[in-house]
Amino acid sequence: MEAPDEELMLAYQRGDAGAFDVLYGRHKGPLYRFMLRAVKNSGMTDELYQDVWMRVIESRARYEPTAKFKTWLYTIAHNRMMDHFRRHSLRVVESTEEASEMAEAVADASGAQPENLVEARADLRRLAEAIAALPPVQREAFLLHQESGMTVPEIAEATGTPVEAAKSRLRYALQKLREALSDGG
Amino acid sequence: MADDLRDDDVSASYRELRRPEPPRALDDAILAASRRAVGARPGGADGGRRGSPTARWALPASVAAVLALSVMVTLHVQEELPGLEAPAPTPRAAPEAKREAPTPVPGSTADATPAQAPQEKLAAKEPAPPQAAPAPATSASRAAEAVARRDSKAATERAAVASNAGPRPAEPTRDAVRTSPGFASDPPTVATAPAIESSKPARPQPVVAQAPAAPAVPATQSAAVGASAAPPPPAPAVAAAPAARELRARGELSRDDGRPAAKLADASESPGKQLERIAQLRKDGRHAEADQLLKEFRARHPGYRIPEAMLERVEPPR
Repeated sequence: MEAPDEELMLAYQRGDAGAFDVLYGRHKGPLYRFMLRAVKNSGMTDELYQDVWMRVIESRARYEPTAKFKTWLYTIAHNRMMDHFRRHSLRVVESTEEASEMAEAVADASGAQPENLVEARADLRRLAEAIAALPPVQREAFLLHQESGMTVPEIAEATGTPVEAAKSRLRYALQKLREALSDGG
Repeated sequence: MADDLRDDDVSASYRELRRPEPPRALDDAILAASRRAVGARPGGADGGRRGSPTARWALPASVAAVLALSVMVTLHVQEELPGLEAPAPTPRAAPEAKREAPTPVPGSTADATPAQAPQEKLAAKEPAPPQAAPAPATSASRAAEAVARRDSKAATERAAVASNAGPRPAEPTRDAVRTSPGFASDPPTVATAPAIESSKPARPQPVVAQAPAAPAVPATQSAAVGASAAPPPPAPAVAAAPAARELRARGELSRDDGRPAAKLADASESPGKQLERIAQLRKDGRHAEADQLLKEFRARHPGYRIPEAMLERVEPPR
């Protein structure tokens, strides 16, 4: 049975570098994708992503297992991205290019027929474009839900919003994405 | 979660999207930083309780090593250079001279002290030449003082030897100043004077410059001998001192003998020269003196065979 994140973080707190390796392996992909699709700039994403983990390392002494590690980690990521947006006065711009990139790598190992593959690519492109078109707060709620498997209360905690607001953001996001997928059908 | 917050089709489609991962270099950098954090600061989160033993003892061990090394070096230096403990004698001699200066010595120090000061400065700047007697004596006494601080017994013995050989360097200087104002008051000054004046014409006191080896000690000794052992001659001891110095400088007078140099000078001559002198006296018609010297010669050299030709010249005419 795998050790919970909190135990691993406590172990790392005590100096066990191997515990951090396991923890990092579990969360690196979802966190990176969450940040990449929120920031929409791979170079900036790399910088912010590394900064988030450095903050985890530096803040290990203050970590308390009262909070879930995942929530703590994504809270750090959320705050770091908000700082970045604020500092650079960035507005999240709809980017069809980013949506195209997101939809490019479609799992094609399913052995689907070429016509089905084309149809699947079209669906994914529409989905990617719809995600990119979501308002930032809705996109963030959706990405947290999909990438990290967070529940609504966890999303609310990580983003510092009321649970109802988080629920509403996630609901609207799913509705728009569902519509985008059904438009192609 | 409510149904409106769950859509399997959307979730499935999302999972089919490209799933980028962080670059490998980024992974390595983050993991390296995580290891550095717990390695550089041992157990940073828990106050260093879980650091590696090497890292835990590195600082105390290095501090202890530095302290031990410092103590060893200090002890070694003290053993190698014990003279460092002894203060330099020159600054101490100067206050002594100043202390002595106000001493009421009739008709001496008032004039001698100002003249002495520049000479001391000169002596301090110019080291005494190796052939000068006072300088080695002074350095020897300094060395004796340094050793005396460590070994009082040896110091006592050296002091006894020094008292037999002569007074300390500073004292004869003062005596010389008092008794013979015309003389150089400081041995180093006397020693350096010829070197400085060597290229210049001779001054009125060349006698002093010619005899730099023993300027003050003989004066004191001859005065002391004259005062205690023999009746004082009509000329003052100061007047006898230059002649004694000259003779001593030439090696014709022993250190502890203040007698006139004539007879001893005869003794130091080679037998041939002595005979020549006797022959000359005989030739000059001073037969009594020639007889006396011949008698002394034979007593001194009983086995010496006088050549026939010389025998005719030194013996009284028949």
